[in-house]
Amino acid sequence: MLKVDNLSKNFGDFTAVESISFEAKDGEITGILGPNGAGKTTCLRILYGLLKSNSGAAFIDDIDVAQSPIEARKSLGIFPDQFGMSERLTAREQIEYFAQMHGLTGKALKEALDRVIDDLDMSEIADRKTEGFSQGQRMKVTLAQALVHRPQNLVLDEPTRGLDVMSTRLLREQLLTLKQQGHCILFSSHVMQEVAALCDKVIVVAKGKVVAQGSPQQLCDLAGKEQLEDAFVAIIGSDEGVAA
Amino acid sequence: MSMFKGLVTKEFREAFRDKRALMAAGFGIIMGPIIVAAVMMFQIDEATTVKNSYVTFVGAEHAPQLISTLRTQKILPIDEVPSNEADKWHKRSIKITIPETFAQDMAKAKPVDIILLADYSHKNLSTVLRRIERTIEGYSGQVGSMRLLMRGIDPRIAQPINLNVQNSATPEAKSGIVMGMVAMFIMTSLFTASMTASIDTSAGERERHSLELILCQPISTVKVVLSKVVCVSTYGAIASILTMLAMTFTMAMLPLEKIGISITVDPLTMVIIAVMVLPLAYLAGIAQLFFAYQAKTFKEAQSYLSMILILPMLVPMAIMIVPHKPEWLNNIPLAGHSIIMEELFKGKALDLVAFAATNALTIVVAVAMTMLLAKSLRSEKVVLALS
Repeated sequence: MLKVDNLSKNFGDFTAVESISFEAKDGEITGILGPNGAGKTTCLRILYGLLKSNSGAAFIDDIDVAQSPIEARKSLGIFPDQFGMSERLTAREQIEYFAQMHGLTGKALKEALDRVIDDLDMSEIADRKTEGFSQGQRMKVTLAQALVHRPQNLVLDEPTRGLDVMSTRLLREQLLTLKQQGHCILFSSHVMQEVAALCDKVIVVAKGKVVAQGSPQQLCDLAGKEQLEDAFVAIIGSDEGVAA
Repeated sequence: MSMFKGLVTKEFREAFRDKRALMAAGFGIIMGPIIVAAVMMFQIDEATTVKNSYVTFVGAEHAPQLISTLRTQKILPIDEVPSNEADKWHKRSIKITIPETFAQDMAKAKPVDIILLADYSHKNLSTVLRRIERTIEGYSGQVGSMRLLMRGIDPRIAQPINLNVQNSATPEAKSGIVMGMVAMFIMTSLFTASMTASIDTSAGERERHSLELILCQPISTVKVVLSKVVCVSTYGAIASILTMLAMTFTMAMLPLEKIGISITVDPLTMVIIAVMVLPLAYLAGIAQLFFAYQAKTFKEAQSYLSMILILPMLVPMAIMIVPHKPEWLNNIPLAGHSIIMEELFKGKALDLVAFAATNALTIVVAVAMTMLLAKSLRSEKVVLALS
């Protein structure tokens, strides 16, 4: 379970996040939807424990991130917005590195690696160096390194950017499976179809504030629109950044 | 601990698969011995063989005897210069002018002015010019003695004092400059070798967008920094020790005894230096990581670190030329290392106090930088500079 409570963050005079509260429950997929610059990344960075909030707190499975960041991160898997990887490592070594940072060693490490490589159907590329990998292959490696330690909570930051249909479908299937297994999934996006298709709950963020939250259907009803995209525009009051 | 092992393994895999970093390290190892060997060969050659020098004589016909004396010292008229050296000697244009009245004045025992015209700031000419001066002075002295003898006077009367110079420096000590050079190359190769690897694992990782994700993992930044510095320092230490071995080998091959230098590098000296290289490698590695992490890109980091690269040359030199310095300055990292290595190479016993002080100071500075870097990786400023 992921929870942020009354979170505010200023950078000098600029208020990036103002009194944001939301909760992402286990067994649900929660989407954060918002235009560029709405404060999504700042909010997630506070949740990861990289930034300190000016007020409010963030919790991972009821552990206060600001108090004990290392403890809190143990049950967190992160799928970042950019698939940075070392091109001189093989996919397996790359995943192994992250597994080790989560404390996996010896037999447990080997089993975790084999399992995640099998789950994501990537045994063919596992022992190749990641240099020259396609976006889809990079996505798999990135997802594998986020999942290898079987975190209860998974955060994805604009996961489908730059992916083809096949990769997007694979990712979607994985997320649904994880949801069924009772994991908590939070993902930020501005692709409406995806949010509408996947999310149980959507949090709409604009100008650093939560402007609405509920299921996609509830949001449409709230705005009196049939499509989530129209509802979104109506809710945030502009179409800025939506099509990006 | 096993987690840390995993982190270090990853760093080693990356660093030792990096062809660019390996090449840089190899370059550092090979370059030193080659330069030292080349310089020494040249010096030995200069010191042991007298080569023909070519001079423009004006009025040579007036003093055939002087000319033939110069000829015995291999100072020859310029028209005899072989074509492959002609250009060089014409450019150097050394000119000796003998006046028309030479024979006449000599006969009357009047002083004669011979003019030696040359560019004395030309550093390649100093040995040649000194030889010309000495030859002419010698000739002059010889004629003077003859004149005294002919008048029935002991020529020694004109030389009341005979200064007898005795150099007390041992052949080992005479090697000071050479040894300073060897020490410098051992330290420089350490810095050049670890530079590429340290940039790649810090600024490079940031450029690849991997750093943020690593900072989000349940692991302390101290461990992240330590895993990197272990790897980078190993790189530097290996290169540095290999340079030392290559240098020792080169020195043993060169006929240094011909210029009165003797170098003894016994296994114990090598072990002491190897031990000393380890803390220095740690300091070099953490300093490079520290500054590379302040950079956003590989290129920016390179420009920062190239400034660090000159420290192994600059610090020992600066310490050497500071007059009336406090004693502890001799123990600061790099300067202390250079001094100790030089003394060891000169065959002196190891100064244990200096050895302990230098290495302790090095480790203290390195640990402080490690902590500072780990702390800075937790700061918001670094996180915000990520994207």
